[in-house]
Amino acid sequence: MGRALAVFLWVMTGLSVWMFLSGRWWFPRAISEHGPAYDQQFLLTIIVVGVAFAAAQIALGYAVWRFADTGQATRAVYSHGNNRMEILWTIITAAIFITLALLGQRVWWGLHMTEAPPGSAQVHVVAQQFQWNFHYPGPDHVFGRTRPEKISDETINYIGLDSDDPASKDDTVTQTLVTKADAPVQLILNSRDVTHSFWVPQLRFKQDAVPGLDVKVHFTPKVVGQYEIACAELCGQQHYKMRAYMLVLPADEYDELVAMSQADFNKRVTELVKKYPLNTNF
Amino acid sequence: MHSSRARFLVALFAALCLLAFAAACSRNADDAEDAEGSGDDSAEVANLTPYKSNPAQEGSITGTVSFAGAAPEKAPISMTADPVCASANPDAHAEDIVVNGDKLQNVLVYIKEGKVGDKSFSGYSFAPSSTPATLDQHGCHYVPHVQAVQVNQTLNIVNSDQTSHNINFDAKLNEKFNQGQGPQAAPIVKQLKRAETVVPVKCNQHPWMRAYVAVLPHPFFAVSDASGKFEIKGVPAGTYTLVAWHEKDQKGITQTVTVTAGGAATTDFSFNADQLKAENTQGGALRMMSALEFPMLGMEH
Repeated sequence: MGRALAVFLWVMTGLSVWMFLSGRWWFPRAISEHGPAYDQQFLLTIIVVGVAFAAAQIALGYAVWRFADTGQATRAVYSHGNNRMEILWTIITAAIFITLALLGQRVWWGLHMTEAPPGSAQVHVVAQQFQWNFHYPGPDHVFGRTRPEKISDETINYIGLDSDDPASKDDTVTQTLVTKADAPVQLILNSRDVTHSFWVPQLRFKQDAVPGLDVKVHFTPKVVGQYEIACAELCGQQHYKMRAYMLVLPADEYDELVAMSQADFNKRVTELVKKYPLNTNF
Repeated sequence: MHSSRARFLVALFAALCLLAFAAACSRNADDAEDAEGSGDDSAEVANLTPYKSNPAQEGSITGTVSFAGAAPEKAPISMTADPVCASANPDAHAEDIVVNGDKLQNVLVYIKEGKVGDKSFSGYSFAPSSTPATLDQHGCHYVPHVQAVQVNQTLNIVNSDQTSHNINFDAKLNEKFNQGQGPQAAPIVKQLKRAETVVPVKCNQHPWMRAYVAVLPHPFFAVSDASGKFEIKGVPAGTYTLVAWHEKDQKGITQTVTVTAGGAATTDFSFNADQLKAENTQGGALRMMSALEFPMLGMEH
């Protein structure tokens, strides 16, 4: 019976390793400039952790097999362990994990903590229960003023854009995020109510939208298409429905779109959503 | 010494917990009583005279609601977040102010008070209409946008869309409910027990969706149509205070009208752009929903 358990452990370990090696269950394709760095970091981590996991499970199976009860009762031997060995493998493990953390931090820092490249497109992201709103400054590249008391869902002023401000005249607010391929974009995230989290799996980052804070994050999308945006922070009853889409457009289509008035913008986005069907590259 | 103090603190904590629990329970009981108390209008109804319709002694009120000034631009609605909505209603616009020419749609006109002969209008009770009212979710907007129902009249809330909706019925005097309704789901059937003008209805999944349901103790109301016209039929001869209510002007415009037996009284209303400013919204746009709501608990379905 003890030996059967050892075999079970080895089989389960083999199956677990195969699930990763087969590549059947993997991330959707990375579509941002920093995506490959994230994936490389993840791959490195999973190889290190995977080798340690497999080695530990195989050793565990060996111990179960070797010391299984075979009916020949022998007196148990007690060991207090080996302090030198314990110190050694603790240091090795710590060194591996600290190195992985530092490497990961470098990738993360580049995305969240550095300034967006000059000339990045700017989009204000205003999250609300249970919708994403994307505010574009229009051809003048100046965001119109927003005032909380102007917020009114039924008049379709989700972000409280102040029509008295001349800079707001050419602004557009939409529920689909539109970006230009191969051009950096900076998102400035805020929330109207509770904490939400912006997540496009293909972009390889999640970023919280916190009420009262302007949280900045920047990326450069590389692959034209349509991708799903999810809310990654439980934000209320309809959290699971808080979905939007991100379009990555060729430069000409993007430039034409962002110069449009609100009504034309909406219509064009509806057309483009059909032109670039949802990327289901899972 | 220490252990006896610790025991005392634990006992004190337990006692406070019990007290808090008891207080919470008793308040719930009070709430339920309050709700039931004001919900049970039978004593009040008993003092009212049931109205018996006599067509010979009834007239009608007709009129037109106008909008003075330039019609505001209707904001387009982007429904791309829900592809079902976007394809069902590709050319949707905000419905807060609907002006056709110079006529204003979606104005609720109703009798607030008055006199029927010598008797106060509010001294009568009116049997609820046996025809159910319907609030349909169609093309990811509510149809109709504004309506009135009678107290205890059946209201069927229907989902004709291929996507799920959520009806956040934000009543103050009636039962407040917040309930999901999937595509093809059975209608949600409600009978509203108390008069209330006006209950805003929202969809938590589609923030642009808004409807208004007035609950009135009588059947004398109408909503202006696309040409701004309204007609209230079967009104007992008398003198009334008529209110024209618009979602952007919750106080409304009041006028006095005299209805004669067999006659058709005409009353026109006019709103202007200042009265219907975008800021005059109901219910506080920034109201936050609690992070987790459990509408299935303690609610009638």
